[in-house]
Amino acid sequence: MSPLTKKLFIAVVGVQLLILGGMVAHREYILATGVEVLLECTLSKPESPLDGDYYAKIAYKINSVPILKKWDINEDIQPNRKVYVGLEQNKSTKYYEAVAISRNQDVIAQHYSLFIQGELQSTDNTSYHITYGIEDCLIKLNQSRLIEQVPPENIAMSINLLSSGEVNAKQMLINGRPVEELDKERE
Amino acid sequence: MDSKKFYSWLSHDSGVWVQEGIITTEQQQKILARYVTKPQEPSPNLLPTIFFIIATVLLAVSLIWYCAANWDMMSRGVKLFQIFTIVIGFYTLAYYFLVQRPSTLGRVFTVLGIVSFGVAIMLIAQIYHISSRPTNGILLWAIVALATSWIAKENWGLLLSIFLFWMWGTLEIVDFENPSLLVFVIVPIIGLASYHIRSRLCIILLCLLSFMWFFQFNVFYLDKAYNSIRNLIESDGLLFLRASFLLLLPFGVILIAISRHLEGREFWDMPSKFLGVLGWLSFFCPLTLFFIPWEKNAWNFYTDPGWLSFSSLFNHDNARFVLWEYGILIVVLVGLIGWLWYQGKKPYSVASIGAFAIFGINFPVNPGSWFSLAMILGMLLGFFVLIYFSVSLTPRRAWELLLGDLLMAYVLLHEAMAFLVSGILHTQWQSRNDILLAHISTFLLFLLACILIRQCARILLPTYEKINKLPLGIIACVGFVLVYVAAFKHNNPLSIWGSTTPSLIILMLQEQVKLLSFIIIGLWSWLVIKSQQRHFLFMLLFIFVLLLISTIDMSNLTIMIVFNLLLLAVEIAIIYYSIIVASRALAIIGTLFFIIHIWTRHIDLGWGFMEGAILFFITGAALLLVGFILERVNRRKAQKQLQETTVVAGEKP
Repeated sequence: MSPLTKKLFIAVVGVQLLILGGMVAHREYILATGVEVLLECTLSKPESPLDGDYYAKIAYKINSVPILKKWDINEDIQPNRKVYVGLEQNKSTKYYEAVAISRNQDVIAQHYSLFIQGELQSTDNTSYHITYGIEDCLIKLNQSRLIEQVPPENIAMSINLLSSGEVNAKQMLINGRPVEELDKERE
Repeated sequence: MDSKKFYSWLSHDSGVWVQEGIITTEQQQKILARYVTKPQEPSPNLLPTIFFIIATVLLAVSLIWYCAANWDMMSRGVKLFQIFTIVIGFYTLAYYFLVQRPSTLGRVFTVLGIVSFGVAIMLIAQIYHISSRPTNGILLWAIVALATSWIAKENWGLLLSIFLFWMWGTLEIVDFENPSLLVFVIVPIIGLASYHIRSRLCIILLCLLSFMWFFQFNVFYLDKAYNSIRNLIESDGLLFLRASFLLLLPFGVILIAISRHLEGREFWDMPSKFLGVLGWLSFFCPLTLFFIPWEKNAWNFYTDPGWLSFSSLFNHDNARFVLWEYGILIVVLVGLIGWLWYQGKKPYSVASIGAFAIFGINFPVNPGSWFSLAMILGMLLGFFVLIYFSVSLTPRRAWELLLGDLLMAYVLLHEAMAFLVSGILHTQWQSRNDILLAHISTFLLFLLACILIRQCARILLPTYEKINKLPLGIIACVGFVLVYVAAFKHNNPLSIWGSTTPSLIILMLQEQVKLLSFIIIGLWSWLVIKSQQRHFLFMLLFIFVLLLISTIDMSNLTIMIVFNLLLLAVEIAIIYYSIIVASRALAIIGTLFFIIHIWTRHIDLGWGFMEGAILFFITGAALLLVGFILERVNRRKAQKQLQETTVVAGEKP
């Protein structure tokens, strides 16, 4: 290896560590500074045998936003684009619900203290289907069985939300208690 | 004689030539210098490399397994610490074994470092429940693998990066419907890296990757285009897929032209052959697919004048790219052919199939039977060019000759299936008379044309003596099976000319029969003039006449007799040809066919008739006749050989 190649090798490894470190730092920052919010959700079964026992897909209530909630009626919202969804807490259930949708972050930020960033997947006559990057989760088989026994309105996901709309899923709750805790108690 | 023996013989004899004054000592030294055998380097021991490869794979698997097994019990901090330790550890070891103590272990740890980086991305995503766009993670991993492998000159890592790029591109299209234009940057960069580290395998895989991306992009955008003009056609969800196959015609010829440019160069020799094979397969792929519409949905492709016509494409923003793409491909193709000509490389084969790709199909698709005729012409042209120019020009391309034979056998096998399926399905769909025979007759004419094309190429080439027997055997089997199917008794058989209200498929078959008959008569006449194998050619004429008769509308019984006669002619032709080419395998195949034929007819027709006695008699008599003919031919051959030996012996002093 020439001296230049040695330096390049060290540099490329350094960049890799920076990338990994950056990913971790970003997520830790969201967890540390983000506002904790509860979202109503349900658990869907693994999509294929290859996904294994641990994998679960979370379906949030806010994955589907009624078209009527569009902030600007003239706005053209196309699939595969970033969208911002304004959130407000339902006083009776304590869960946060989608109340407005727009492609314009400033508009949503002006009117709502909490909003979440997502990507529009598809649309039909009544609603937009949006993903937020928190739909995949690794849950033990025992825990997922536990969740399945509970009515959907008692299941929630605790997430941390930044003021920019970025989000990180924290833990799944049943009646306000972490699933892991309940699973350990049962064992 | 091996090189050492030759050198010792040459040095001894050249000494004698010097003594006799034939050459001078200087000349002797010059001659000997040409044949000095270099000391051979000891061949490298592959065992350590194999162990290293297995070890790398096992260590990578164990790493993933270990993490998976203990993951649940670890805290987040421990998990992250472990991830970073593994990545740093592998790269440190890689650096140590690449720089401080150079050994293959350096390569192993570099690859493990790359793998651990990918695993780290996945695990971090898992710890924080990140699920947005997993393809981004794969792209990042692929870029890192490419950069690290390039710097470390690591072949395996580069292979991994090509695989990751393929996975990323495919998932982007399939899962997210987002073909990324980044591929236009990625392909040249991987090409540069592969050339820099001198990896032929990576170049070959890159060619394959480019080919797949080209196809995937076309499928994706044509699907979009199709959706935008969906109202023009009734129903055919896979129409866009067929259209994207058509673009492979000029693309294939471009690949062959590039392979011609690269052949003979030290590093590029093997990749150029691969490119050539890929190019020929691309060229034949649409021809094979569009030869005949063998599923009902494909009919739209031949009948609808709205789809893929110039005006239709121009009127739709989404579809206009097809015209642009086709135009660019043609410009590149013409440029490459011109360059080959300028370099004096005689690009006859590329030019002829290139001309077909440009003009032959009158792109965009010309509806109706002309399109299927163009496919036949393209296929026959492709076979001839592949077999003839591979041997007649220098450098001789033995791989192309073999490819030509194998492709012909494969195409005939594929088309036989297509014609059989098409014949059966069209009979069901149309709820009308049986048109299976019409399909079989047309296919058999195509098969005959292929045999004659092959024969023409052989006769034009005095050096082409060796015959690949396997393709011949396959062709014989295919022909036999089709005639065998047709030789059974059919109810209300409909011949090619027998329909009073011909459907599209019958019209198509009629056009194909006209064209093929014209080609066969032309080739046969030319062969009779040129060839010494007159008996064989007369047998082919007999088969051709029988085939033509079978295309005319006749009664059930006559049709059956004609096809049985044809079957008999095919069997005799195979056995006779086996003697000409001295192929025992072919002779066995021919005899086997004969036995199967006779026994089938025996059971089919005569079981209750005089307890089969007459049929046994006919079988015996026929076998006797065949035996007599064979014995006579063998005797004549032996006599001829004896005469030749006597003449040669008489000439000796």
